[in-house]
Amino acid sequence: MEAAFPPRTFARGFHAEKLMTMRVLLADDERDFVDTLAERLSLRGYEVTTVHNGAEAVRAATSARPDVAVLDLFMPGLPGDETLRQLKVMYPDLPVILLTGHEAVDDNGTSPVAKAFACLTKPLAFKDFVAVLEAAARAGRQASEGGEDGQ
Amino acid sequence: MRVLIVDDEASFAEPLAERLRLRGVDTVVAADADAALAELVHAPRDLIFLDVGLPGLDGVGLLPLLRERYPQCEVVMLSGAGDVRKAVQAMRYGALNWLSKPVSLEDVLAECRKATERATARLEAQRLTEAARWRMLGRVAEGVAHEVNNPLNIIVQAAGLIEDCLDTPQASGLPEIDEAREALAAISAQGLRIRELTRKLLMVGHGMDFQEAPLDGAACVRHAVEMLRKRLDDQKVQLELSVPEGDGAPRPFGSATELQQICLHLLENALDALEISGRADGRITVQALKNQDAQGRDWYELTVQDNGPGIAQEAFPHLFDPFFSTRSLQGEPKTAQKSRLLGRFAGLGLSVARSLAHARGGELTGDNASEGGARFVLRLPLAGESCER
Repeated sequence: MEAAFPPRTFARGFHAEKLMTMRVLLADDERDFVDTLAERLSLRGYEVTTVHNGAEAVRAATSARPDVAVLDLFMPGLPGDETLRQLKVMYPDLPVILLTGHEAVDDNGTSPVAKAFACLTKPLAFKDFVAVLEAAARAGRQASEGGEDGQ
Repeated sequence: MRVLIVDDEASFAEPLAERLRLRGVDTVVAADADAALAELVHAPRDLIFLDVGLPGLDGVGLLPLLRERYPQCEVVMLSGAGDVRKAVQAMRYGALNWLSKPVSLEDVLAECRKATERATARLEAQRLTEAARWRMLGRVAEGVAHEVNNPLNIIVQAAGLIEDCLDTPQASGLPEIDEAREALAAISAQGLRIRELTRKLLMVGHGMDFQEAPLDGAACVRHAVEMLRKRLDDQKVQLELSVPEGDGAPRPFGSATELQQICLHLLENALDALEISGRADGRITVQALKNQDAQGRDWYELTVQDNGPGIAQEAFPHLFDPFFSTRSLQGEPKTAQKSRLLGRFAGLGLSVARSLAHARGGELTGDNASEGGARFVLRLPLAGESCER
């Protein structure tokens, strides 16, 4: 099935000079939510790609090569945890942040959720979210550099 | 087991009462209908032995009254040889059984046993009904919480986006920009309030996490106190903690997150009560100890008591109902504070606290302390003993 809403890319905004360009993939079926969040991130200089389900997220991970992926845990079709698992198979070093509406995630260490860089509860406090994004990107860079050193 | 013998024949009733007391049955005697009713107002009873042939209102006449006022209380009729027919008639009005005089102590004790069994079965049925009601309520609450969270999330982010736009250099010349910023701050703050509400809704009828362990009760209480530190200071409330810790301290078995939440809700409830009362010498005491219930089982018992206005009689049946708030029953707060006070209560804290207690096989009850003020008692299984469950 081809996506009715193709991945959107948001241009970098006025805060851009403050930051190193970081590519962020946002996947959430609440379009108004992802678009608003993308708008806010792009104002701060992030390059953001938005998709609305897990399958699109997996495709966009290849086409957009994000530094960090942000997935909603409850999406139609491929849910966030399964999307996370697939992304981790393709890009083991890609840091993934999960969003939930619920804090009680049954994380017993065996579910794919345990591989997430962080699990954040909605509604997001935007400042905290940006801080986690930055930390995730740093962790991702270190992981991929570490991987290259090892080769 | 608490027994009342209603019989005008003192030479029969008193020795029987004495023999029952010797076997550990708490027994009192009344000589007629009026004395019986007075006794029941004074203290409830589980089982009444009711003589058919009383002076004044007889046993058959008194029975419907007792069944109506004290439906939880079982009645066994006592009859002389002459009025067996009346005793049989009483069975139709809801007496549990009848014994014809002279009665043997064995027969009386057998009736006590039967009444206990029926009371236990009734309590168990009540507990199951309530548990089913809570589960259903929990599903509804969870659905509402998720449905509200999604739009709320968009509102909060959209407000944030407008805020970002106001921060751009082009926006700095806008007239009324400060008012716009204030309005946005209000949207964010109110959004967080709704979020707090949905967070509580998600806990109704559920436990929060799945990790059970022996807990440090004192640490959980301190955690809750720290979260409320500002409110405690603002309201100048004196807090007395007497929660044992370290080796040898009783440890509840459950989830630390949940126990912290329960403490938080109980303390918030006490603070609300004190705020309404407007007293300058507000005091909250928190006490924990190991205690035994009527069935001889040991519990971790945590008591939170305040010196506020106490729980209104009308509020008791609804104390743990979601969205029931006692503020309208506790007298009108001073008008200046009123809107602020009315705005803050969600009426969910106690429901959530009780849900969490039940989720771990515990119980939460509320009553008024004899010296005034409300007292909430939380019982959780003790670590070590819970393994037997």
